[in-house]
Amino acid sequence: MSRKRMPQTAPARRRILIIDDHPLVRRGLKALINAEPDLIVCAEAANPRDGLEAIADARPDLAVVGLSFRDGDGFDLVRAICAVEDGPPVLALTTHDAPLYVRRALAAGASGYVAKREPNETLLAAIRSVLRGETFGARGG
Amino acid sequence: MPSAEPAGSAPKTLLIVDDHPILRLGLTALIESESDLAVDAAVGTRAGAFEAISKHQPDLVIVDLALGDEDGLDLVKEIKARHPKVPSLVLSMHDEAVYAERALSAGALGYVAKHELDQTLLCAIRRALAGERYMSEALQRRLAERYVGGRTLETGSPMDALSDRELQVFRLIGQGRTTRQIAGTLARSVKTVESHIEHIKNKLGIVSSAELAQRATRWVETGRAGYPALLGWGFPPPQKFPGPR
Repeated sequence: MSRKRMPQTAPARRRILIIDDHPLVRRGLKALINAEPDLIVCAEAANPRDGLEAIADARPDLAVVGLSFRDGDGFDLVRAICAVEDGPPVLALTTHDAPLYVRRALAAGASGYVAKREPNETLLAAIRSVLRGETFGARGG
Repeated sequence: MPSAEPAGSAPKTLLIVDDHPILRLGLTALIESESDLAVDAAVGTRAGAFEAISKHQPDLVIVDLALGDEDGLDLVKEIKARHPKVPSLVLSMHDEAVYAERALSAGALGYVAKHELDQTLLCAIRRALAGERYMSEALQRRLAERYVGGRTLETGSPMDALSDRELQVFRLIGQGRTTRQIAGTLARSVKTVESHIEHIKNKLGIVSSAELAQRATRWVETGRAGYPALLGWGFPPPQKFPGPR
């Protein structure tokens, strides 16, 4: 009779903060991310102010920022998060994938950029890439 | 005493048509969290929509107005024509001032903005499933005033002046499409598209192609039709947008 292997302690899930003003987008992101064994949504926010508060309170490993904010410029939020000392890297999620927007998101300090029309697998790859300290989506466009 | 519904009645089924996978996931999660509703399929294209309607015969189709290069308003009209018994509900990131009446005229039972709260969305879905129109109080008031006044009232949105087709061209420009690409998408000549573009510029008071591209891009990004200066956008003129040629 073989000995039972002791169950290994699962590595802690990486904690993701979602900031987007569309409730449906936040719900979709939560469903997608929470289904992954190595990721979890630790907090969500619907506007830039609440998002910055959540950065301070929840100390996420990464912030996913939707850039189509109705109040205020999403690029300003990316800059504000990147200015936070020991703050999380930012993955920008946007409705637009034109080169101009990619450049502005990355110039604002985002570590990665994914258009909302991309497949969910691309978004997950982007999250994991940025968590590894890599840049995602910069194709020199 | 007859019960309102037979016990264990099958959930009403929905088809979701939206070109953003995250939105499809979010809508599916919201709908599936309700015990009386279920999602038959979630697709991202017109072709996928008709395939799913034939296969599943959903009780309701939710259509996002912006379907990439395809047009949600056209899809609503086509569903109405090909499957008149299948109702549709329109979802859009744009303010209803511009699209709601067009959606209702196209045959949709209702219009809901994507940023609405879950409860509003579910209310709209259930009303549409019951065969009732759904529209916000603001839209109801506007339509009522229009009928009482017996004339067309200004709604305040500059986009109202555009026809459905002009609005579609405007959106495609905002997505970075060239005139030639737009002509291909609409199955029309380049000359026809250029004519639409001239009408758009006249109606919106736009002089240059650069401004047209900038306004259209902002429209796609935020759903807003206003003037950049007034809203403090401060974007530099787009450099790589092809714009109308």
